[in-house]
Amino acid sequence: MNSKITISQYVESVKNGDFTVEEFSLQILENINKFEKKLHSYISINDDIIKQAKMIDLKIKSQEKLGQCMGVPISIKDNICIHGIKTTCGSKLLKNFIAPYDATVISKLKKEDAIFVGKTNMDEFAMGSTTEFSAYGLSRNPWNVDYVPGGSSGGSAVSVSSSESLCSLGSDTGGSIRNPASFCSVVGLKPTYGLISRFGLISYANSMEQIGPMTKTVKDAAFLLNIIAGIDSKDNTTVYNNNENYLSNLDIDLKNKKIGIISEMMGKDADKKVLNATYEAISKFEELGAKCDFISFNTVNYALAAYYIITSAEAGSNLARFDNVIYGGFKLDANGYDFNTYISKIRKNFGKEVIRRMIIGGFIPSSGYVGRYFIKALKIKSKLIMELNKILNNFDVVLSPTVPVMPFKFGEKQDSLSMYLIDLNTVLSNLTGTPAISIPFKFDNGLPIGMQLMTKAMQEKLLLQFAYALEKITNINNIPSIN
Amino acid sequence: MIKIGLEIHCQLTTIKSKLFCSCDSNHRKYKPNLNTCPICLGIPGTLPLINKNAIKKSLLLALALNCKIPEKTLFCRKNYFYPDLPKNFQITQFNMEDKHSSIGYEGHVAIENKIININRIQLEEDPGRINYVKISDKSKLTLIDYNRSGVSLVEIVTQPDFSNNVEIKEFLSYLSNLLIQLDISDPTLPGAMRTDVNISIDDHNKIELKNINSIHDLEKAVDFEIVRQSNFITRNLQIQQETRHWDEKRKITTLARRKEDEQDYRYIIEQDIPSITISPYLISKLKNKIPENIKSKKSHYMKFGISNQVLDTILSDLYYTRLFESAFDGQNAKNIANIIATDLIRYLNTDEKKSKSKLTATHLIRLSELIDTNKIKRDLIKNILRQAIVTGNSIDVILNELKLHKTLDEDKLSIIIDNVIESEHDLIKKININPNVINYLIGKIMKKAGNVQPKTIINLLNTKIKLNVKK
Amino acid sequence: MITKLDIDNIAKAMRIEINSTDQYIDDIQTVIQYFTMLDNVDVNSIQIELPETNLKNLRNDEHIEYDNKLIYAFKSYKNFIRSPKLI
Ligand SMILES: [Zn+2]
Repeated sequence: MNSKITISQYVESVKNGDFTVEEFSLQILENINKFEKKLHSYISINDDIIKQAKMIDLKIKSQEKLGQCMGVPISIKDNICIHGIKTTCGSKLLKNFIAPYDATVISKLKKEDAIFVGKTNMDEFAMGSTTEFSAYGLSRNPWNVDYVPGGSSGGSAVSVSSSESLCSLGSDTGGSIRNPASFCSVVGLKPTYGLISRFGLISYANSMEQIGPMTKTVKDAAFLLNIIAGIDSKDNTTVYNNNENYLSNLDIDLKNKKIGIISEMMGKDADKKVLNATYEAISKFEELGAKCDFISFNTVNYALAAYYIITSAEAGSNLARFDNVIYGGFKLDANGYDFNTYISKIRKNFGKEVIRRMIIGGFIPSSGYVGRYFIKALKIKSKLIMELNKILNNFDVVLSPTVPVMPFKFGEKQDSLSMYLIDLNTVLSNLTGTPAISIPFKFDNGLPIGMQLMTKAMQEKLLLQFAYALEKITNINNIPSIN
Repeated sequence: MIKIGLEIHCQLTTIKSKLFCSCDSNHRKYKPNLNTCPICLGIPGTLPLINKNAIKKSLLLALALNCKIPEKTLFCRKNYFYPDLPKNFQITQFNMEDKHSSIGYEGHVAIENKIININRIQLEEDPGRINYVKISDKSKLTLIDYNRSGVSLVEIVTQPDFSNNVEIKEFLSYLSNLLIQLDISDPTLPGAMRTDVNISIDDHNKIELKNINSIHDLEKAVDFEIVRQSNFITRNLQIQQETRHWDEKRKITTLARRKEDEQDYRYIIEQDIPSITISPYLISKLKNKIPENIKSKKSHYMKFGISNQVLDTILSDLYYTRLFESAFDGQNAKNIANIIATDLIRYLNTDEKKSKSKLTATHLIRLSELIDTNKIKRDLIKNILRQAIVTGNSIDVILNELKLHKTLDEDKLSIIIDNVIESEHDLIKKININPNVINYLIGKIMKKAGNVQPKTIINLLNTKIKLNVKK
Repeated sequence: MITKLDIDNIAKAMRIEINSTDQYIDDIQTVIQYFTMLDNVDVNSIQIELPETNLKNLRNDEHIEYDNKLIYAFKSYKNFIRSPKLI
């Protein structure tokens, strides 16, 4: 049995009786046994996978009504709550936090009979682009284990790429889905802000982040999006999506469609290999009849600064609650300490990157600086939304490399600033609330390069159609041989 | 000059659920922490789900306090670490640069004799409660009950328009009535209404007073603070800008923190709650809910049959308003208003005359009584008023002096005398034997007839007795 | 420029005990320095736009009791949550 298949193939096979859900789950567990020591996709693994698979097989046998996932083994980033399961956010602060409820995306997947393989590794509180900042050890890139898998949803990308799961849910605040998708050669979609409920997603920067699918194919991303998208009474920021079917009509003609390339996203700091790959992608789109044009979008130069200002300020506030008073992983006895000393000692256990961002996040909104940085960043965000909308009135989609650099080795990029520059092309869609997708495009020296497509808010369907066209024409091998 | 401003926190006790979750708004009836859910415990991954009724109720209050209503309202996070805040921030409202964040602003209320301006009205969440439990002589436990966490609080911030306790009490009782009548809150529930005070004297620094739990203590705290600050001023000492706590047991205020120790709340916009548009339709719907009598002072007094024009005359002038309201007892409203607006206004038409006048509300009250019992002719009021303004003598003294008692109709007097003769039949037989009898009868008649000239009574009485004896 | 002392104070305000500010100072200075590029952008005419909603989309005022055993899933002391002492 081939475990390296897509969701659509899986669902077909289970329907045809080619294999049982249990058989497939066992295969996934075998992959985990084989690769996990090397790759470390997971922080925790579900003990009940086989039990749950058997139950679904029983349902199939007795011809009970079955959800459309039919036991699809899906991995979940460890900042999304599953009732009764440990949710750590890659942090020591939450090492014993058992979620007392299901995130909305989890309820939806449960209803469709998905099986949760486990909780995937991530940079602590999703702050990072390499998964090196997890308190539970780093994850490795399946294409070359000396290289970072990207982040912060690194564990999710690795698990999909290595078939330790069939698909995954990640979260994306500034590229956290798309960056590891690009580095691990999987599809990663960051949906429109408000398309997917954040209820049950532990906040890092709540005005920017979205949960999104990470899959082997564009079609699989559409499949998961169909299940998890939609307005939710548990999240006031969600919006109505007309019950759009993202799977239908994926295959469209790109003749005379217009694609914009923002020059600022192809700048001098970008790797030549990545740029060349992007030019290749442009020619591929032109082969399909699309018209590609370069455009200048000057405000993009300020996007990264605005992004880090807003996310740090929000993080400072969102992470304030982790004080070990109501819940938390520490046995430190409250006796003898006053509140402030106690929680400061507890919060000392945040990782270095989190502390760094918390200090910046404490500085940004402080009186005297709030106008210079925070308010200004919010205004730049508004300006970007306005100007990007104008651009997208002239173009169907915007194309760029997902990450301006090639995957790199562990410890290669140490200082914050060079780390931040990795996010240069991904933060725009978070700042503007628009959807963006990363699609595997090619390999250079065995390392993946992904292309990013962006479009107007709520136009996921269009985005998936373009992505599907690119995926079809590139037709690359997506299965790493892990050694 | 003493300037006092109030910050009143009032729970929306009449709504069913908390501000951001479906737990019970009536948190008082539960065992500790049994009125909680992941949202109000700040469990990771939860989001605030704002209660639409909380917005409506607080809007209603803002409208009743004559506030301007923003087109959109948004929420902010006040970031500070404290164990009664499970998220270590409070969701509240706060204007950030050009972003306006409130339920209402720039309102005003007319109390007895002045206008109190409302700075802003905002909606926010109540924190949990901290309990201290002694476990031994040396140690106590700090235990938190989050049942109250997330209950809706509406905060009313006034301008420093008060100058004494009387005005504060007046305002708070007006506000309490309003909250009850509009079904917004029951301020009599324990802890439902909490008031912080800021006080400054002349141009000295402002002091904030917190932790005041009753109107009774509020008065004491204000009095104490005025004396304390006045002492500083007379001794030429600098008053530091600071926050002071009211010490309930010792009945004094103590230093809580100095200005320079104020924490920085690092406000940011609460992006989990989108900006909420408030439609003009909703505003007009809510306006209709506000009963006539509290829409304004004017419509309140119009209920007593006072004409529009008369009310405008009085309410446009602080001196007349004060006089009217001090004399007002409901029943006499129309008389008092007419005396002021048609008669008094001719004599007291300058500030100088007003300040020199010896006329008081007592004069007006007595005048109204005499008009009601028909004992004084309407057209004589002008003369009486003129005397009262100059001399300050009581109305009855003035009446005696002017001998302006209205002569009762002979018919009415005749009936009174007939009744007395009837009831004192036996005495009348002795009228020629005992000369005191006639005096007794005159006294009795005068008691019933009021200030009628004794001569008139004697004449009429004599005629009647003669007739009676003949019978 | 953000100083060592600033960082100490912010860390204190953010309730994070740090052993030595030195490990953070260079990095944070670089990042804050990077942010100053915003000083060159003129955004005076720009209004901050925020997502909007209508009252009708908000939660209805209903009391729904949550599982009353919830509190025992946490670090409870009897029915209470115990906090370190306050000064
Ligand atoms: Zn609750």
